[in-house]
Amino acid sequence: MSEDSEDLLGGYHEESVEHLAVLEEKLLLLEKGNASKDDINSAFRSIHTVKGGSGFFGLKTIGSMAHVMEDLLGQYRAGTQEISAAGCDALLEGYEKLLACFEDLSSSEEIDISKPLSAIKKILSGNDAPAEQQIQTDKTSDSTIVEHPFASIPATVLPGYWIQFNLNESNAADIVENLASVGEVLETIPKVIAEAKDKLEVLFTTVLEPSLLEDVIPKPVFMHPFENLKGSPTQHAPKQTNASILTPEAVTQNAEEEPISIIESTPKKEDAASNKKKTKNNISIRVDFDQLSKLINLSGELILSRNQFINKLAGPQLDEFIAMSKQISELQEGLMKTRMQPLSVVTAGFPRLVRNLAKQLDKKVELKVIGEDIELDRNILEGISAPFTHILRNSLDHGIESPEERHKVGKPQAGKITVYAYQRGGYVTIEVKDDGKGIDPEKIKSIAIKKGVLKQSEADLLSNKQAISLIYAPGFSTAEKVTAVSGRGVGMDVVKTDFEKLGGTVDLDSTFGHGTTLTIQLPLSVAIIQSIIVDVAGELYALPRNNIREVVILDSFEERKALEQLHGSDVLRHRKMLLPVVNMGTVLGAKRTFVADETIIEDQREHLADRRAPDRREPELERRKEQRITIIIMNIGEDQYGLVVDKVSHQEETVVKNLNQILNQLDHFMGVTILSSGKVCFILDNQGFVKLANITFKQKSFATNAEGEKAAQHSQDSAEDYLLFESAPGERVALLAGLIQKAAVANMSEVMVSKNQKFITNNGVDYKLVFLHEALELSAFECKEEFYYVIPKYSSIPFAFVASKICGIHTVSNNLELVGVAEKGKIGTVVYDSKLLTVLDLYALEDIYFSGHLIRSTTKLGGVKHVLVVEDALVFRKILKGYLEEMGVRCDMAKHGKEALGLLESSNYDLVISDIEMPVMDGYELIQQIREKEEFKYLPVIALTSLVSEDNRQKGLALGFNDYLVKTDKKGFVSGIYKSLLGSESPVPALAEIS
Amino acid sequence: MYYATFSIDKQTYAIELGYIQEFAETLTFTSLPQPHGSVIGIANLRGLVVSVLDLRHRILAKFSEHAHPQFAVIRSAESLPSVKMDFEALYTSKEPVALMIDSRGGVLELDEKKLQPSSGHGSQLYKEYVKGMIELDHTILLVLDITKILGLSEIETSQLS
Repeated sequence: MSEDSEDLLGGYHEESVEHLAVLEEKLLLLEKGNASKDDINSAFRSIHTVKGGSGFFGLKTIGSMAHVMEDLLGQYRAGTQEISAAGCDALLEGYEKLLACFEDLSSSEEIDISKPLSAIKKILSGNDAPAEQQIQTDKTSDSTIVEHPFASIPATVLPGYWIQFNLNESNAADIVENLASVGEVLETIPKVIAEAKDKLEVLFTTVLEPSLLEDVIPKPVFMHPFENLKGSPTQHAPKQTNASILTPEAVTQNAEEEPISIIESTPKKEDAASNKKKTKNNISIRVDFDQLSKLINLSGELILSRNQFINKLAGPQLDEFIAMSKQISELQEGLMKTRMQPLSVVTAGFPRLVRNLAKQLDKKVELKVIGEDIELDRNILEGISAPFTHILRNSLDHGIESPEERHKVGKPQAGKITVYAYQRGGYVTIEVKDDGKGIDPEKIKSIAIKKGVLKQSEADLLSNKQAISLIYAPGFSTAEKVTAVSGRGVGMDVVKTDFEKLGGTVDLDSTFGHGTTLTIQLPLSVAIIQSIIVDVAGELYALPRNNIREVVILDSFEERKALEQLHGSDVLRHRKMLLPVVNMGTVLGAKRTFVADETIIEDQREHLADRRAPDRREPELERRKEQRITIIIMNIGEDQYGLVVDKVSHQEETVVKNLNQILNQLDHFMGVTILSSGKVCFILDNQGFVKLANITFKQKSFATNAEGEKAAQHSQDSAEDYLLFESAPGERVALLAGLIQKAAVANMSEVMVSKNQKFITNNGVDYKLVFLHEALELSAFECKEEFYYVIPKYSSIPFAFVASKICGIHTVSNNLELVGVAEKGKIGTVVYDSKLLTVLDLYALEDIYFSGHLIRSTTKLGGVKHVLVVEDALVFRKILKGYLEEMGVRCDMAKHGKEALGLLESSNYDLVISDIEMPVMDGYELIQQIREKEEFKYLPVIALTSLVSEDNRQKGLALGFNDYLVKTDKKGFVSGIYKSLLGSESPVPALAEIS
Repeated sequence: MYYATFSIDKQTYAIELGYIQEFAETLTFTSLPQPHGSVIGIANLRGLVVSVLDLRHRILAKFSEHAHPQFAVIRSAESLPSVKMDFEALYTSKEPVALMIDSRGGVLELDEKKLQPSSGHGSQLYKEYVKGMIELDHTILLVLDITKILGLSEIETSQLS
C-alpha cells in the first residue's frame, strides 16, 4: 500500500511541476501586460490543481501558498482586482517558493513563504478578505448539526458529504456518473436516478477535496460533510484541518465570488490531462527512464553483434541479411530519438532568469528564444543547462549596459539577447547573441599581461579574435570586482570544457561596442560515433572522428623534414602553422615503436625529428627501412596538435560503452567498444589525453603561430638568421648566424700582442682579433676595457671580429633592399629596424684579412663561361656570384629548381651549380628533371649544399650530380667549382698550404 | 561449503563456488597501455566488456608472466542476489570481473571450521586476502577472501573519490 501512495505522490509531484511551468509562463505574460483571458484562466487552473492535491497529501505550506495565489488570480480573472506590478511580483515570488517546495517535498513544510504570502494577502484585502471569511465560516459550520433524509449515515474512512443538486440545468444521470468516477456514491434520493425530477440528493464519499469536486459536478445547492449530519458515526473534526478546506457554505460563497465558472473544459479531459503531457501536436506517455535506457543499451549491443555477424556473411546470405541489418540500424536510431527532448526543456527557465537578473542589475533586457523545438539527446540537455545559465549571466552582467549608458550611445534602452538554435547535419548550433557593449580586446590583453598569462610582446602579436579567446584561460575574469551575479572567475573556461565534454565546440565573437555572439555546436547524439581505428604499440585504439582534422602521412625524406624540434619538443610544420606533436604510445605509457617496412620496431630515439643512427651492422636493413610516420592532426577546441600513431587501421561506426567503474579514473579514455572483429578497444578521450600528454596551447599556440608564420616565410622567402653586432658603437653589422661558431666577452687584460697583432685565447685556441674598419668603410674604434668578439666557423686561420656590442640573433628576410655602395667584404647595406645594417660577406673578409687566399688565382679560364646558380638564399647567391665573377665567369641566378629549368630552356650553360634544399623544387628533383632531357644528359651539374651526410651525397650522385660539394667546406667547394669549369683535374696554385 | 580451486605459481587457492560464474580457458583481452593497479586490460565476454584483473599481482604484487593464463570469472552482484555482494567492490556490481590465474582445479567441499590461520605460509602474500589454510593430501590449500580481493582498501577508496 505504501508503494501505491508513493506512486500517487510521485504522480502529483510530476504533474505539479508541469503545472508550475505553465503558471510561470503565464505569470510572466501577465507581468508584461500581454496576458489574454485564456492565459489568466490557464494560470488559475494550474495553481488550482496544485492546491487541490496539496490538501490530499497534507502539504500545508504548498496549500497555503497556492491558496492565496489562486485567490488573487481568481480576482484578476474576474476583473475585480486590477493587475498590478506588485501583484505580479508577489505571484512570481510565490511561484518561486512553490518551486522550492517541490524540489524536496519532504522538507517543503520548512520553506518560509511569509513574504509573498503576506504581500498577496495585503493586495487581496484591498477588496474584502474572502480568505479570512472562509476560515471563520469553517469554524462556524463545524458545530452545526444538520438533519438529513437518509436512513443512516455509514461510517466511512474517507470524507463523505450530503450533496443536493438542482436538476434544472443538469442531468441526474450525468451527475451521478461523474461523482462515481471520483468517489463512491453511497445512496441517492430518489433511489432510481431516472425518476429524479428537479432535485437529487446524494450521499457520497471521496478522497477529493470539496473544491476539486467543483470541476466534476454542477454547482450544488449545498454540500454538508458527514460530521455535521445527525447520527453520523464519524462526528469528529475532519482529518484535513487545512485552512484552505472549504465547507459547503464556503463553497457556495466562493462560487458567488467567481462569476465565471471554473468548469470550462469537460471534467473528463481535465482528468485525462493529468496523465498526458500537453505537447503541441502529439500525445505522449510517461515511460520509466531506466527502462528506456535499458532498451537503448540493448539496441547498442544489437548493433555491435550485427557488425560482427555481418562480417562473416557473403554472397546471397549477405543480401538477405541487408534488410534486417537496415532494420536494426533504424531501430537503434529510433530508440535513440526517444531520448531526445526539445531544447525548451532547458530554455524554459531562461525568461525568468533573465527577468530576475535584469531586475537585480537595474537593466532592461528583452529575451528572444528561437528554435527551442529542436530536439537533443537528454544527456546533452542536462549538460548544457549550467553553462548556458552562466553565459546569460555574463551577458547581463558584463554585456548589456545600463539603460542610461545605452541611451548615451544611441542604443534602445532595452538590451536584446537572442538565443537562436538550428540544426545542420549531425549538429545543432545554438547562438547566444547580445547587443551589449561587447568585449574590448585591448582590455583583455592588458588583463592577461597583468595576470602573467602573456608577455607584452606576445600580446602584440595577437589578432583581435585571438585576444578575445584569452577569456578561456582558467581563472580569467575581467570584472573589476566580483559581483554576486558573475565575475567569480569560475568562468568561460568551465563553460568551454562543459560543452567540449559533450562533444561540442564553442566559438566567441565580439565587436567592441556592438555586442557579443557565442556560437555553440553540439552533436545530436552521444552513443554511436564514427571512429578511426589506429594501431599503437601493437594494440588498437579508437579515435572519435569528430576530433580528427586530417591524417598526415610523411613518407619521404623531404616530407619528414616537416617534423622539427622547438624548445626541446617535437613540432610539425603543417599548413603554415607549427603544431605540437606527441607520440600516442609514449603518452599512454606503451612501448614506443615505429613502422619500418611493415614491421614494428622499437623506437629508441628521444625525439621524432632526430634522424635515427644508421645501424651499421645491418646496412641492408637500413636501406630498406621506410621511415613512414603517420600523424593524425587532432582538434582540441580552437587549437590543433599532431598525434603520432604506428598506422591507421580502418574506420568504424562504434558503440560507446562506458568504462568499467574501476577504470573511471583514466581520464584519457572515454569508453570502450567492441570492434567488428570482436576485439575490445579503448576509445580515446581527447580532452583527457591532451592533459595527460601535457600539451599546453595557451601561449605556445600564439607564439608558435607567429613563429610559424615566420618559419613559413622562411620556406617561401628564405629569411635567414643573422647575428647582429656593432663594431664601432652605433654601427651595426650582420653575419649569417650559421657561419658563427661563438661570440664571447673579454677584457683588455686578456689580449696578447705579438708582432703588432692582437690575439685572444679561447678554449685553448688563439684567435687573431680583427677590426671591421680595417677591411670596410666603417668607423674606427678602440677597444674599451670590456669588448666582445665573434668567432666564425670554418675559417682557415682562427680569427675573431671585435665588437663593441652584441645585439642578438635576428631573422632577417632575404628580401633585402640593398642600398649603398657594394664593397668587397660586404653583401650590402640594408635598413633594418630603422637602422642601417651592413651585411658581411665572411668569405670575402677572410680573403681581405689573410692574403694568400684562394680566389685570386692566376689560372685563366678559356673563354667566358656561362654558369647557372640555383640557390634560394640571397646571401649565398651573392657570395657565389662574387667568386664566379672574380673567376671571370658570367652567371645567371635562379631561386629554385623550377626557375632554373626555365632558364635552362632559354640559355646555354657550361655549368649548373645547384643547392639542394629549396622551395618549390629542390635540388634532387631538379637533377632528375635535367637528366631526363636528352640535351642535358652531359651537362655538368654540381650540387653545392649544406647537407653533409653520406646518405645525401650518395643520393645526389646517384641522381645525376657530377659532383657534390659542401658549403661548409669553402676550400673544397671553390676548387670543386674550378674543377668543373675547367673540366679537368687542375691544380689551383692558390690552394697551396695556407700557413 | 563448496569451493572452486585454481593455482597460481604452483600454489593452490580456493574461492567460494557461489562467487564464480565460470572458468575460461582462453580470453582474448586487450591490454591497457599501462596496468591500472592490478587491472591489466579488458575483454569481450559474450558481448559484455569485463575488466581483467591479474590475480597474481593482486595477492603477490608481481605480474603474471604465464604464457597461457586462464581466467576465473567472478559474478556480478546483480546476477546472484543470494550471494553476499554487498561489499564495496572494485568493479561496478553490474559487471563480472575476470581474474587471471595459471590454471583451474576442481571443486571441493570444505569444512570452514577446519580453516587454520595461515601465518607463516606464503609469507609474500598479503595476509588480508587469505581467510585461512587447509591441509589436504599433503598439500596446503589457501582459501581466499573474495570480499577483500575485490573489495576496496582504504587507499583505493581515497583514490577513487
